Amino acid sequence: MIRIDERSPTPIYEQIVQRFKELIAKGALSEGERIPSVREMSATLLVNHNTVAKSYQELERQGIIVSQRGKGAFVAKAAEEPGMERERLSRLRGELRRIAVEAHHLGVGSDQLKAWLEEEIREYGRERDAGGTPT
Amino acid sequence: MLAVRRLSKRIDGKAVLTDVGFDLEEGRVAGLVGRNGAGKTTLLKLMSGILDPDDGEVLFEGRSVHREPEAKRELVCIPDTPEAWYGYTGWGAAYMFGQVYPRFDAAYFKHTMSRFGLPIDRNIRHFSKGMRMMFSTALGLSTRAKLVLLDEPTNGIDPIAKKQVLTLLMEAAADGMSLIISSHLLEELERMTDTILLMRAGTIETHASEDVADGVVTKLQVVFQGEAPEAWLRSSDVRVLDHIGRVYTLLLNSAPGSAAAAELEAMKPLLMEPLPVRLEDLYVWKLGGEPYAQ
Repeated sequence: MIRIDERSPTPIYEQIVQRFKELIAKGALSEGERIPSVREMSATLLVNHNTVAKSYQELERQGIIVSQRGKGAFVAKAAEEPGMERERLSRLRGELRRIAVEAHHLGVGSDQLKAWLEEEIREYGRERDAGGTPT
Repeated sequence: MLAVRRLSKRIDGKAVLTDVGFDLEEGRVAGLVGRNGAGKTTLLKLMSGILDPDDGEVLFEGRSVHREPEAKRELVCIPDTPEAWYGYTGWGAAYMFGQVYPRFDAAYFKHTMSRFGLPIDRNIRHFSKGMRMMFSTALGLSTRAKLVLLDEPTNGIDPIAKKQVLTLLMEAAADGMSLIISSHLLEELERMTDTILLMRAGTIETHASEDVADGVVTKLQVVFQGEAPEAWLRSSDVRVLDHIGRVYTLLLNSAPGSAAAAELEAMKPLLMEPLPVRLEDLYVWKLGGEPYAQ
């Protein structure tokens, strides 16, 4: 379900956060579904339980999962409206800029780039903004 | 929980450990790494009270494991082969350990043996290497001791047995057991542990597994302007991991007092890109030798 890339410069706890967000965006994990316990995840990935716990805390802080004492952690309801977390939104915009710059230098034209982006959106994206219009 | 103080041991007149000291808090998972012959097995045997030190002491929750044998009931050492159990069956071994360890969990032992498809009533001598290691690990964890010391638990076993042994260890750690794992599996150790105990020439250094080389060494990919500075590359603050064409992968001493980073900067390289430093890099930096093939 979750795979760790040993060679990636991204810290393992961030990789776990990222993989869970992907699985949820893709619909492989849906709202209210229980996610594996820290113990199960640690034993499956062979990653220290404190690292897994740190990932789960981050996912909870971002409102991606909710934990219920004694019952485990569950996939939370998707964001009610965009713009709740300005820092994450501006980081998202920054990443898009980086991709556009990279595509420029690789000689990838805008039609191709849009087609690729649409492909990813079909896989992971959502129909429309949560709540009202984006900020 | 565990305090190792000024531990020294000579074997056949040769100093194996010199003034070794470190602390381990409860619930920690520590990886014990070092070259073959660095003294890892001797240290594990001293900590578990199998060997007596020439000097220094091992305190478990404040009690010396060498002067108060009672303290040894809370720690168990899993050797790299279960030779002591040849001639016993799983049940026989469980009975013996049940006599020694007050919280021995026979149900867990039975469950784990069957989970891994290990016959509980067969002589351990007739087990394959992988089965022996799974048996030893299951038996050691069944003691419910607070601290488990493991001597190369994955040495020479197949990838499936290895995964099963490591899975058991991670479950035990999540349940609150403290572990010290001696191993050469640096990638696995880096992920699984929170503490790295690095043995060098009979002494020990402690590092945090996360950011393992923080403040010790940095790793960079560098392309120099013009000729590579051969003399600088051979200096003691620099180690060349590899170079492909003009691209050098370097380890630089980043401890306070090292001028290596400033010297490199002054050469104005065409490219200077930091790379993540792994346990393997720290190992190569500290213990020398050639980097492992990728």
